[in-house]
Amino acid sequence: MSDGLVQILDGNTFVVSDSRGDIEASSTDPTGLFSFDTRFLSTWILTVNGERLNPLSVDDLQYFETRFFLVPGMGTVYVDAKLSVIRERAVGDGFHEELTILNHDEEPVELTVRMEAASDFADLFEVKDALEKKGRYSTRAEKGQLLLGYERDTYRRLTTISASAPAKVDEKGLTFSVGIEPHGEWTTDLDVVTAAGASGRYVRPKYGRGQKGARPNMGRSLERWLQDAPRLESDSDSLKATYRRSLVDLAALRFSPPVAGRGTSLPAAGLPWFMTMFGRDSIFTSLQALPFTPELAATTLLALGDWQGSRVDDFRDEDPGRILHEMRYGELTAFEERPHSPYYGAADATPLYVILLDEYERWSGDRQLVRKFERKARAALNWIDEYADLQGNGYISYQRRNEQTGLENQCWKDSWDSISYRDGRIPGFPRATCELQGYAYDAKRRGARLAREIWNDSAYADQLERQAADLKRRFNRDFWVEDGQYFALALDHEGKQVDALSSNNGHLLWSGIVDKSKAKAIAGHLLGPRLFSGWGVRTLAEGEGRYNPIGYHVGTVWPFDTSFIAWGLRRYGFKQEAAVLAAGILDAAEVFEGRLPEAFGGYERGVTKYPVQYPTACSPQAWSTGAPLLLVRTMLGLEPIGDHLVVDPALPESVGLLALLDIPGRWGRVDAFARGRSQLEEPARRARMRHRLA
Amino acid sequence: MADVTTDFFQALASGGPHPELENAKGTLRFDLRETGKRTVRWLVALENGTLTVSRRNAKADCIVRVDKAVFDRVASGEQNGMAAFLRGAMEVEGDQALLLPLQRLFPAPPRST
Repeated sequence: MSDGLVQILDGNTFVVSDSRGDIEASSTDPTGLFSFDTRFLSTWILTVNGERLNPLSVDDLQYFETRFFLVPGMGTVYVDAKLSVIRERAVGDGFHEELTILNHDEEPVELTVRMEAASDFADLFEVKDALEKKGRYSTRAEKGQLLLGYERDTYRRLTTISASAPAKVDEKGLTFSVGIEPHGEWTTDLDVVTAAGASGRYVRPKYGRGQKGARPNMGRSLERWLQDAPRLESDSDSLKATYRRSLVDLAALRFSPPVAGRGTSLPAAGLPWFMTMFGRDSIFTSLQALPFTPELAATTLLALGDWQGSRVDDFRDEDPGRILHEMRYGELTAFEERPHSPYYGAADATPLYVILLDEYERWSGDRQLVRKFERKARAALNWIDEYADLQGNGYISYQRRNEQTGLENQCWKDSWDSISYRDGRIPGFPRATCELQGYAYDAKRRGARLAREIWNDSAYADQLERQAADLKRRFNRDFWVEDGQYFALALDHEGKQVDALSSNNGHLLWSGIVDKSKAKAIAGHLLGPRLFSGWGVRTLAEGEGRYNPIGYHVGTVWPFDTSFIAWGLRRYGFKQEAAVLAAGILDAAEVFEGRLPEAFGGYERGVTKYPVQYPTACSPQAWSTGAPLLLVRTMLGLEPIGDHLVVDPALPESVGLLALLDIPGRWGRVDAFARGRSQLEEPARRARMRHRLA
Repeated sequence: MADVTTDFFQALASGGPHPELENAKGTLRFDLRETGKRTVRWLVALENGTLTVSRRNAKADCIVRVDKAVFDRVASGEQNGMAAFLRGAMEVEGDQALLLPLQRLFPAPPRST
């Protein structure tokens, strides 16, 4: 996001404005009021006596509300500083804005206050790709309200704008004639309500004008969310701040998918482009957050299970048993100009679904949910062998069937150039990326445990374990790059190795597919100079043909990626190495004030001194928000074994003390404590060191 | 005359159990509007993976109102059910979550391999 933009959000409704609180959207930038992937307000400009206002300060009160302090006049010299203007805005079913003007003068004032309003009803995809609209607009000023409408066939979207103070409403906005006594004030409520509906029958907005009290109390809900999460104690103030920031951002990214509507929520992927349900992102984030907010995992399993693929649909790249990639609600999806209703083009979400189901049970002990989801888990496991083995070689491969609007790369590194050979060439399709095989292995192993312990089907468990063992044996033979001592990024359409060195090796450790004898070499690469930047693990190793420190998936560091790699290192016993990665990402988080972007530059830490944010990175982004949480888990070495939580800590040098209190799980609530090697060191010195690095 | 919507519901009625819908429970009513004619209603009760289909006009947990012409396209796979909902061609009242298991039974687009 560009600098100077202010954003507030609630689920998938969000407002992005400038620092005056104004919205002046062009067709291609993501400012405005958005809900369900549609822009409901693209112009929202306040003037006093015909003049724009000048911002003094912005207070982000909560993720869903903000306050702008303004004075009339532009530039550095205030034309009239005898007036103050305060806009206090809260999002929720549109937004509510309380506009207050204070007269500091000894004379009364007469003012013309004007709010310009308009909407282009752009689909978020149109904003992203700059497309033209096909429907008709309407504008009506009636009964003191301004109604902005858009219609195409039965598709209707409506924005209703109203005020509590008397206003003259015309088709371009609202005008208030205001008189304020000396040292007096004037105020009005402005409500912008979004609605969607069929012909002539709008869905009634939940919270209309003057119904402020009827709004769900988001402040209370956030408070409860924070109270329910474990408490973190540490000598590192930065770690404490990052932990709190992560919990708050995760609360902000909670999203209740419509139609699934159970009053529950799962993590949406990220602001501004991805405030929707993503299979992969929701699963990874739920895994990261399991020790902290396990209910996200339960909702993710339910919602993704509801939408599990049931037929072969080429437009949506859907197969029976497949877990969705992305759901969208905007006009292009509604008219099937985009396949996101939902779109299934992900090759990893399906095995990851089984992994999450098992990991969720290991923490929560919720056997009932695992029993209820037996059929879905079996369908997911069946998808791996029945539908994903495109080359008949026993490996998951992907190749889109929707060649117009489907995704080419159906793994987490989904940009066009993410999969390459050492020399930079790009392979043909189908492609079998390595981490997919790791996920398949882990899904089979975990599925076997569930089959044996909960579904009472030991024959199925045996079968899955045999398949997993066979997959592991073949994988360690076919993907191993002998002259580099690491695993190839993929096998290409001819079954040959795509031999670049990448961060995917870390996911392989996490999955457990790596032969013990090879793990040391892999750990060496992950912490070595070609992959480790000092902040985190580069997506592609320095020296590879396509390496670019600011290339989206070919050199940047993704905090989520590094957090799973740290988990993988722990799985193979590399405790200190995992702690080094945790320290790098947490130091970066400190520079970003606790909010890690989705990616930052892969530059050597010693060269840039601070992590360089990737230019158009989403922030906050769910799995970046989850990264510090997972790193707290790996630093403490938390692992559920039976009905107990095992703690086996290894702290980095920068953390002397770490305690996590009231960790929820099948054991009730327990505490975990860790002391670092450097605990006796002077805390002030460590703080100075970090500052120098930043 | 062949009627794709009638065929769809009759296939549901006679198609045996749907174990993949075992977790869903409730009733759905489809009010299908025909131009110049009365509304045709189908009532589907879901329980333990068993579907009971009738033409009764009874109260339901979830009511779907849609032009029959649109539903014909959904029932034949030419139109996606979720997309029809998003474009306002299919209105859903009551427990929307009930429509989710049922949409799994809508067929794939005809051209799919």
